[in-house]
Amino acid sequence: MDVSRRQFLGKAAAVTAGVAVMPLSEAEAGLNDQPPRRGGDPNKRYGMAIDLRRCIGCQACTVSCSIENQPPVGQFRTIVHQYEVTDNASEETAAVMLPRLCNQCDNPPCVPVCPVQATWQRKDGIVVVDSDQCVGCGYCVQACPYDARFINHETQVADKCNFCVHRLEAGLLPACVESCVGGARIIGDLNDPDSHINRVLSENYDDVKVLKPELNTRPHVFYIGMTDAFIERIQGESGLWFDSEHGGVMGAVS
Amino acid sequence: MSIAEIIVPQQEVAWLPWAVQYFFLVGMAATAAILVGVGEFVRGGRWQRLQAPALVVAVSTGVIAPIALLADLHQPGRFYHFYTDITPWSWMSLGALILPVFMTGLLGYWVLWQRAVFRAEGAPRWLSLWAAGNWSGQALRPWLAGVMLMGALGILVYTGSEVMIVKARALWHTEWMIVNLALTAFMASLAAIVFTQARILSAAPGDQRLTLRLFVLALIATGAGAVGWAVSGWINGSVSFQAFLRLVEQFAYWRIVFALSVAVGGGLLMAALWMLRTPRGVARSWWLAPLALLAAWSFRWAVLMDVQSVPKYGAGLYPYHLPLGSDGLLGILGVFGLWLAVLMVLPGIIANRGAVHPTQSMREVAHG
Repeated sequence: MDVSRRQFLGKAAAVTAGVAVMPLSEAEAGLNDQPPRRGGDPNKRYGMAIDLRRCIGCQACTVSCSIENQPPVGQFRTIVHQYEVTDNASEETAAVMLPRLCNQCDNPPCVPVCPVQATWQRKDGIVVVDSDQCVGCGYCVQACPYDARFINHETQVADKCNFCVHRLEAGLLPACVESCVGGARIIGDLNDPDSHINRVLSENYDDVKVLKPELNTRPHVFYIGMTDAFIERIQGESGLWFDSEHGGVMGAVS
Repeated sequence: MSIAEIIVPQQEVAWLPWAVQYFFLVGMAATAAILVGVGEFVRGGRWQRLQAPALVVAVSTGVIAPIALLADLHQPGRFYHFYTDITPWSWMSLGALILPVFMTGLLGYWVLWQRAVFRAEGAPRWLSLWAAGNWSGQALRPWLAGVMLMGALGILVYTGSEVMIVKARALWHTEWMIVNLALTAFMASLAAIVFTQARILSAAPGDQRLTLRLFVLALIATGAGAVGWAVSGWINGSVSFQAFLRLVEQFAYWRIVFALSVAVGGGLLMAALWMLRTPRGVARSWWLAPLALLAAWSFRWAVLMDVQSVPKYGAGLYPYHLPLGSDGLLGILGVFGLWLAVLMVLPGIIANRGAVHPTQSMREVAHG
């Protein structure tokens, strides 16, 4: 083999190794494609099941999350939405509780928009934010179809639920799961066929729903016992702030 | 079954009025720069005489737009992360690369263009360095014009795309977003050029006539863009148009937005066509500029701010109260104040002694 040929092959190998070392995404991810996942246990896929039949709307999860993660007053990583549902025929009313948090989507639209790679999905499925890297552009807040993200008033960067990843890694349950008095929130590894969450999901197979499935975000927070009317945007009365008929402020202001 | 919300949190806006200012100014800068670039490559004195007022608009808006963009970051001091962590899959990251290219092309072109004017006609003493030395630099001009043109197209494509790809905001999720942001930007920059020609540079009536014609063309194109979005949305059942129909059906505010858009757009077009008929009308057409600028600005306000008050999951609309401080009114006024300040200084430099083209041959065209 002559020298130039050997040099060429050597360089070719170096280039190939470089490609292998370079984040795969830079070679492969097109505009607005998902970059590769990084960090976390590749053998796990965390998810959460929320059994609405067990939720009493006590907001213990909201409070314990706020104590654990310290978002500013008035901002929430998780909160239980409450609705009054009336059957038009019988005029009977019922309260519906809908705990909301980041859905840790398998195709998270918030990740590829980030211009500085401050948010990414771990190999265990959890979407995290590096608050030291985030520039607070708010693009991920726009991209999340579930309003799960917000700009934290104190840190001025994007904030969201991360399944209390720091607790999971220490062998603890997320604060909301641990404090749930009805045991409505179940977190676990979806890759483990024997996990509690997989058992609950398979037992209720016909009654498992996710929010806005048509957006193809593939959410990994699964609701059990949810009425179809709550899958998409709420078609109803906005009770607190706005008169939906006239667009005028009411409720909190009047 | 009817549903009433009892406890639901309000989602705040994540993009502040600074974003409206950025989209407004950078759109004008890019479209005015395209007109400047056309003047570089297309023969014909009128196009070249359009360069001076177009440069006034492009440079004055171009230098302020990045300030508004920086202010829209909640952590503006970390802007360098855009360059230490380039993210090829993010439209916004791409935009952070396009913006400096555009600015280099625009400001570089202006420096050389101005140098030719100063060398031909003499520079004010405080700007004499601008014309110093023997190197004319004019050979570089077409290249910088090319960079400026590519940068301007890049700005129009990236700003529209960055908004368009957000599926979670149904109204934004249409290719027409790119088209209609660009067309309204043309409308705004041409209105500003009409004003600059008439009130600042005292341009010849024939030149104003060309600008007014282009303005009418931009208005018609803007209308066509709106109709295109609606008709194609109607036929294809696009999420964007359906979201709009729902808002107009449910909320008086959106009905007012719609009615005002049609009335102002139609009114501007009728008035501009009327003014085109007589030289006196052309001379007075600058009256339309403030309304046209307001219309283009309001379109961005509706797209960026009003759409953010549409809940993604909840019912009704989130209330938005404009803060008085820098994240609200003060920021809006501050940006316009800055623009006004630049506009007061810039034309005196760019025009020097009248809106003449800097190169000798073109001056002959202009005066012949």
